[in-house]
Amino acid sequence: MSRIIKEYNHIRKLNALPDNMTTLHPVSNATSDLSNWHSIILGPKDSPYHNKSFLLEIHIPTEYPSIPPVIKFNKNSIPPHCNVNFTTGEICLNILKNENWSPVWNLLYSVQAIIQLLAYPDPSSPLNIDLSRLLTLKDSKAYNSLIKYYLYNFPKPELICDCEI
Amino acid sequence: MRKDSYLPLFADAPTILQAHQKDEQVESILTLKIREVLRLIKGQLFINLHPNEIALFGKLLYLSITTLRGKRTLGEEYTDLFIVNRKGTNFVKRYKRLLFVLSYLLGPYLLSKISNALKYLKVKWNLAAEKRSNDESKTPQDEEPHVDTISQYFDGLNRIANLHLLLFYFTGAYYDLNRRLFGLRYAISHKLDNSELEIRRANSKSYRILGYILSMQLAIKGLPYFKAFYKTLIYDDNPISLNKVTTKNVKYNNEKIDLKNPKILPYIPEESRKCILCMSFMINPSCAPCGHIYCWNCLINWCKEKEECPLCRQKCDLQEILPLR
Repeated sequence: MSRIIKEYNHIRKLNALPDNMTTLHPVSNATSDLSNWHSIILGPKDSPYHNKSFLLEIHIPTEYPSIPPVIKFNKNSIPPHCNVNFTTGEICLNILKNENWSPVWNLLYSVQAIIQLLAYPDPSSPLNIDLSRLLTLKDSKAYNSLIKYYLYNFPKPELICDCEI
Repeated sequence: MRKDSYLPLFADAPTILQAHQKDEQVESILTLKIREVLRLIKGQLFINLHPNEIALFGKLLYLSITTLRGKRTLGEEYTDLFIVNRKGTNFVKRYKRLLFVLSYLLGPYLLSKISNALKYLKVKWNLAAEKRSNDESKTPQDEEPHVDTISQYFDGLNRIANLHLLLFYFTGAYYDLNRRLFGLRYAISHKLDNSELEIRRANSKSYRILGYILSMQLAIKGLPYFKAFYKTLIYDDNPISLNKVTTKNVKYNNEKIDLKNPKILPYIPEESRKCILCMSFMINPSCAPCGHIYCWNCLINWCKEKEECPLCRQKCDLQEILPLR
């Protein structure tokens, strides 16, 4: 567990920087519990998720970093995405699976990998069949429009940052 | 093999070996299950810390519900063998079976513990000797440790076990020393017709070839010792023992190597003195076969999970990890 404390100190420094893209902080304010984290990520540019923000729930298992952190989207902020279960918020990303995880990666990398996943969906292992069908048919227009339609009512970045989580 | 009609025939080497292989397979399955249960109860760390003890417990459990109770093990059942006494006239007494199980399992374990402790003592003694020789300019060589002779004794035990295996390949009577000691012999529990007898005889003949190969190996291994012994016979005023030559030049260091101190291992540059796994200065830096460096504990713990380098995913067997000195 000592490693997560080191990561926490590093992340706190990053959060203080003005041009920080991702916010990452423990759920409880007391530093004694670093097993549950929240992260607000911004949709990447050139993707239908641009200008939207999403809330990630992160659980650090006790064996970390030997096994990967468990990351999923908050129930109220699940983006439509071909590798994200639209009802539970579960994320299918190969590096966050036990067999592909490497202890060299840290929490920040994992969150950044999820931002990458938003921009580059992988239709070969889908959790959302409808969207993956559109991708395999290479109908990017329908894919992007469908996502934008779902995301229409999603909060903009500045709103979710302000409100209490 | 005997011709007595009313007594069961003794088993031959191939059959005994087959039974053993089957038993080992079952034991490993049992141990795996025990590990699973222990992981749920005590956590992964416990399993990583006590792999030998868990395997030992698995074997003990297996043998105590089979041999100790007087039942056949699965391997014996598979090859249709059962345990009889030395002459093959009766079953083996319970206290002998108990002594066999205990010595068979605890013997090697305790021996390895003792020899490890002795090795540790030896390292300590060498360190102390080095210090002394640094303090005084003289080289005190008056007191020889008994440790060396004892560890040689353990090597000797190993050789005896090898010789016994050789004997087994030729005669096919007792697979290991403990069984010979307590007189647990295998017999075939069904009647053999002539064709089966022929096949069994041919099989045990082919096992003699294994015996010849093993004896050749032993002879070749023993050659340097004979040479050293021969030399001491000729120049007996200046005795050379093999062990001394090999251990003299090796410097033992048992202390923790902490890279926080910039004077330790100065050839590692400043920017790579931190372990990427625990993100602090490395303690006992160790090198994977691909060249990446981590703390000894960090790397070992990860490689127990998965045998690959965390950075480049190249294969990294536990025994290939090199501690840097």
